[in-house]
Amino acid sequence: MRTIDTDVLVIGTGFGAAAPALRLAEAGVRVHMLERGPWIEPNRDFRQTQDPDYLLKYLKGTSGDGLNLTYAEALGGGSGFYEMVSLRAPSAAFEQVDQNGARLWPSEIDRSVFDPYYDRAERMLSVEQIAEDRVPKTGLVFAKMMRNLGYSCDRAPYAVRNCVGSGYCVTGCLYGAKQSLLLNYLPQATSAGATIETDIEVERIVPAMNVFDAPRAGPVHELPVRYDVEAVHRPSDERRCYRARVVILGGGTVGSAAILMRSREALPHVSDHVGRNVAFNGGVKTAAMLGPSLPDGDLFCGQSHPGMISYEFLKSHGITIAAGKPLPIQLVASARIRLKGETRSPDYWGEANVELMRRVRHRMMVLVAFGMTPPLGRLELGSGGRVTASLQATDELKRYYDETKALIHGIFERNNCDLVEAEFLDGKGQPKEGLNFSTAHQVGSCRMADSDRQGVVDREGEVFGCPGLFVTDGAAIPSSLAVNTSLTILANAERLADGLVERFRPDQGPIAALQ
Amino acid sequence: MADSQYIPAAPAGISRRRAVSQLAALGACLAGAACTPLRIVMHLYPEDFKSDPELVRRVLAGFADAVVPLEDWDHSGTAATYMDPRFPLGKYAPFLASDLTRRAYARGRREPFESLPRAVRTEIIQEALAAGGVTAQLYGGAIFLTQIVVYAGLCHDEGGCSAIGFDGPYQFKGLAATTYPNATDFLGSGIGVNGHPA
Repeated sequence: MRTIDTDVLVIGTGFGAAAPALRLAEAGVRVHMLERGPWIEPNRDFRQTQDPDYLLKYLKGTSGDGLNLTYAEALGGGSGFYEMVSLRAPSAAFEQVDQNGARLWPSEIDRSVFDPYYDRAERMLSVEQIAEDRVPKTGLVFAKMMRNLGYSCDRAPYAVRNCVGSGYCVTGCLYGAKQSLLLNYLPQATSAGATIETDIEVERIVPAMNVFDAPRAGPVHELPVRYDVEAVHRPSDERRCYRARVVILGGGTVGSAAILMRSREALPHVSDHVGRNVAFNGGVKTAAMLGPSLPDGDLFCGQSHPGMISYEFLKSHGITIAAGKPLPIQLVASARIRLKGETRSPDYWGEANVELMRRVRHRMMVLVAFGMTPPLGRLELGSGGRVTASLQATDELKRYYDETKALIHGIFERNNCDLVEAEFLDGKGQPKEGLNFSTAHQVGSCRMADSDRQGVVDREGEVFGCPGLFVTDGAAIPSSLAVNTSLTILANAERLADGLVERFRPDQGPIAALQ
Repeated sequence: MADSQYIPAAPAGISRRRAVSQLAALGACLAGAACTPLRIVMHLYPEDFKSDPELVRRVLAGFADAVVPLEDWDHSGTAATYMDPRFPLGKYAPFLASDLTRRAYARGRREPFESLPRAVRTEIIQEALAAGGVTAQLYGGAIFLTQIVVYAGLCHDEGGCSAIGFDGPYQFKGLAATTYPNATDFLGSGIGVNGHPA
């Protein structure tokens, strides 16, 4: 087996991994990054297509009872494929409590702690509120619908420069406009000396020593090798062992939890909470055909996110509402759709469906609510190491779904829109039964907490019972946010990176190490 | 791709004698010829559909035309996609074609499925969906794939789907085409801070 030695091994290259890699490399630490997915050169590899072969090369999913999670496996993680909407989590998200009244976030971590790191993340990604004259038509029509009812609606901030409005944000931006990590963090990290390997699948983490015997801080190159990370180079099946003094898990909510679950035997002190407490932003999707007094939208033109978001119901219902702009493949692959009250048979295929689909581009409005739903999702390792997701569908969650759907239907109906009924489908085109949530906003599988009785990592991201092993990605975020998660994951990773640099920078003296 | 690749392979590892004994044991089910899973697994459908990909393609084009009825639309590309081994329907396409044909003749029709009026083909598909079980799953999956292939323009990736006004890859129409010039007529008040929630 080939052995590779490094000071800090960062597993993953997405939002949770890139910040610590960059900050540690800038501080002079020897950093090596591992990515499970392939290398990406945006100009060469991204395509404007709906070809399933292309999409499934980078976008993966795991599903189970009631919960379907999508994530990316590629250099830059999800940053190459997200809709680039970059929102700070509302203050209320940090104050959520569990059924016993205990705070989901560690004590003293709130929005004010995050704000300086949001600032930094926004600078790095060139985040700016979309200008009025750039809001896509569908976003403008959504804003008008809200205005008609006296509701507020905000222009959302995006990580983009010189957008050309191709409408293919979610298949990768060919034009270098979307500020994915491929354009900032990762090249800056490699310029600072970090190295990146792709197509490496980490199997498990094994202690290389009694992990409690070495100092928990100090110049990292002076620390002993604490962990061996066993991995496979996918294309060649070559087995490798990465020996590291510090290991940072940034492989995403699914990936990081899976690695810790596979390592459980070797890391017996890891909390039982690994894989539990998955929060999923409670996405409720509804659609309608625009009422006659509303102008046309355009689902297939302009940036993938329509530019507008409403916080009107954040305080009263804990939800935000935004319009969606699904590409045709996203629309027809996710649901059987029919006009409410359609009397023709068949209704979701045949002539009635064709008639509906002809009007979709300009007359369909899709609204998506994200909510502060409790972390009731769970990841488990199944046969062959495959991760499955499941959801504890409580009465409270069902009530949330029904009430949110009714609220959005009310917005449609009061704008004289015709409701569209959607029967959501699994990957084989079969209707899903019962309560189902599909999301790419999963967080919390290795959540931050005050102790290992509540979570997996401490507020500094260090795994309880495993000194020198950190989780810095969405897995550490302990609650739903009611907004897209990328900026919060990145801000938290920046926050944790500061602590890592302080703890392991090479230029500190022996006294600092003792402290 | 060679046409022979569309022909379902014989069940691996099952000898003729064993297959015959299995058939005997399952005779009750098979006699009715209505047990879809077994007929698929055991490849119990007419040989023509295993050896004639053009026949399969023709029948399935008739299916696609009923699922997504568009005038002046050539569904032969859609049908070819059904037989593409990359998609889950690939290995079931010959069976689906044979089942459509069987259902057409079971109605006492003289014409093959693909030659029937669209309304009759629609009824036949509805009848299969109403059968429930694996049959309904197979037909539901085929409808699902048809809609994806046509509306997402998978047959001609560069062309999109003109039927729903989907252009395919970006055509550089300019930002003006993506928005309205009078944005203030649409926008109301916001309550966020620079677009972020408080």
